[in-house]
Amino acid sequence: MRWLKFAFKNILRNSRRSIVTVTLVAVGVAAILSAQGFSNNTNHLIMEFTVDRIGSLIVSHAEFFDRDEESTMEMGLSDYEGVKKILETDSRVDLVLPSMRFSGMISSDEKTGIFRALAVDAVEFHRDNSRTTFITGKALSLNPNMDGDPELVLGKDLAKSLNAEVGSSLTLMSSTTFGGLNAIDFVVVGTIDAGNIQANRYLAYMHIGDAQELVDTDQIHTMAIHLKDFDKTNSVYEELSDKFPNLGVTLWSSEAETYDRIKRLFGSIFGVMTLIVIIMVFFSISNTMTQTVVERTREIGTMAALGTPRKSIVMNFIIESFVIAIIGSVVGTALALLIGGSLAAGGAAIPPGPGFTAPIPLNFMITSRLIFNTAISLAVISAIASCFSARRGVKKSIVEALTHV
Amino acid sequence: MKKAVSIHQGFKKYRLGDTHIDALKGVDLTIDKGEFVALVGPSGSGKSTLLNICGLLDTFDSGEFVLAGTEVHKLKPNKISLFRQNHIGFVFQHFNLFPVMSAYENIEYPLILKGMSSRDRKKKVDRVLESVGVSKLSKHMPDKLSGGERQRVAIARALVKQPELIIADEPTASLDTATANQIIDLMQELGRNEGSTFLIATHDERMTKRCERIINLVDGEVEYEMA
Repeated sequence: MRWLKFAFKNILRNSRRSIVTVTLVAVGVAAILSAQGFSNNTNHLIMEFTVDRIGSLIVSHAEFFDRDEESTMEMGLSDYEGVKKILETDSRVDLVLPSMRFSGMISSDEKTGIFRALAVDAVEFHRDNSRTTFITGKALSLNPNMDGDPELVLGKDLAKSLNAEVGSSLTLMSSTTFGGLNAIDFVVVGTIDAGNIQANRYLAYMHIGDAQELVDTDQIHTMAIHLKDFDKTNSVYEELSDKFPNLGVTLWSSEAETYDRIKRLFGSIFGVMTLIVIIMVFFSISNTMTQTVVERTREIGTMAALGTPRKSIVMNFIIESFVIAIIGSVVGTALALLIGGSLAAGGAAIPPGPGFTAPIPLNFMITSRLIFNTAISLAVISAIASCFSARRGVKKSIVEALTHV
Repeated sequence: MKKAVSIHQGFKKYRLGDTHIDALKGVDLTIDKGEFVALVGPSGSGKSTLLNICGLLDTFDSGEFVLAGTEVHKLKPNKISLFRQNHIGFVFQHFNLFPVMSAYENIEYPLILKGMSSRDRKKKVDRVLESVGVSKLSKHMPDKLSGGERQRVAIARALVKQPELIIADEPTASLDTATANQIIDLMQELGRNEGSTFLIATHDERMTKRCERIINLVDGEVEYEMA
């Protein structure tokens, strides 16, 4: 405590220089926290979006995610209702949503195009936390009219390319599990912005029952498992892998290619930025401590003459730089929180990333762990920088140091 | 009388560019315990070199040096700092107090280095503050003290650990006559009371007149000693 007090007093001896150094550290900390906070927030949003879309865990045919199907529903699950019931009895499971994926041709009276079907349980659209953005119309009905045409929800660009709108009748054609072709008329009940360009261009949502009729099967492809507590994903994953050895149980992260790509992209960009900030702080502290050491050469000589071990003298300067780094970190954190709060309050956002349609909110997720890691990293860097400077100072002979003017 | 310092055939050379300068040419010197000795000599006589060596801030190139019964010329560099910490006190011309420490903290500093408990430190610091007459200024920072008061604190810092030898480099040079006389009185009194040996490098006649012995150094050799 005594040495901290002396360190603080020494910092105040040249207050202008100390303020400049603290400001530089604070700006560095604010930059790191803002960048990493933005990265964290974006990664988190994508993770939430992905988990919401595909579930925390996915149960499928063992090879479903490893290769393409050679024929329609080649890797379908037959007795999925039995597995679904078992899963639904697990108290940790919130929802089990089956789905099917296949592609085919879609025609209006005027045009024909390609669609990628995602056949789902309509519950998916009616959950409280459903993130689907409807452009027109509504979701697939929970209790569809069995007498009417099957329902279809289209990606907005697919609907536009077919000149389809809510109420339009479209014919969907696909190959069946037996190798033939089948076609069914659907009615468009809604159009959506799926969040990315590819999905908007090709995606067609339909009820599982209608999809099974179209491809002539009673199978499905996957069951998305939504958990009540996301943090239990790994433990449930391990249990289910043991429980269903003949099925594929996949973690959401294994299939979140976009999440992974963006995380790596941000990691690289902000990693380089963090490195630049660290170098900046290193040289700033190093410069400050070098000046301090030169100014206090006679003091260093006096300390050494009184018998202070050289490492203790160096330690004094390290403590000073540590204090500067901590003050800078506190100010920088306050600055980052202020900037983050202001941007969030103003609803600031940056343009959508490549392949996406929604702007990315400019919010910072600044966790206490991020603050702690940043502060400690900069404190360590500062300590190293000051150690270099101070070591140069204490290497001088005591006689030379005592006569320094 | 027990010897505090004993130097035999102390040599020291300096290199200045391509030339070697003989700073000390076989110095022989003994100082008894409790003596109050002035080291005088013109600039370049080797006075500062000898003072630095006696304070273990520098070393002889060759020669024997016994301080407080220890052959310090045989000490390894890493032991010298510890020896200095335990056996030598310094009083500098410009006081060299630590500006971020109060008078009390400056005096306490050498005791902290020795690892003394805070209770023992307080006892010793209070006693020495009393001895040098600055008890009331113990909480003052150095920049709030006059030159004389600062030198008193510096003397207290040198004395607090009760060293065998106190090295004083021009301790009165920065002081007016009245203050210088007070400081000389104080040093003599403390020397007598504490049994410390003083080796004082000085040009100040006010000081040399009061010393028990004067060692005159010329061209790196002891020219004469005057009692």
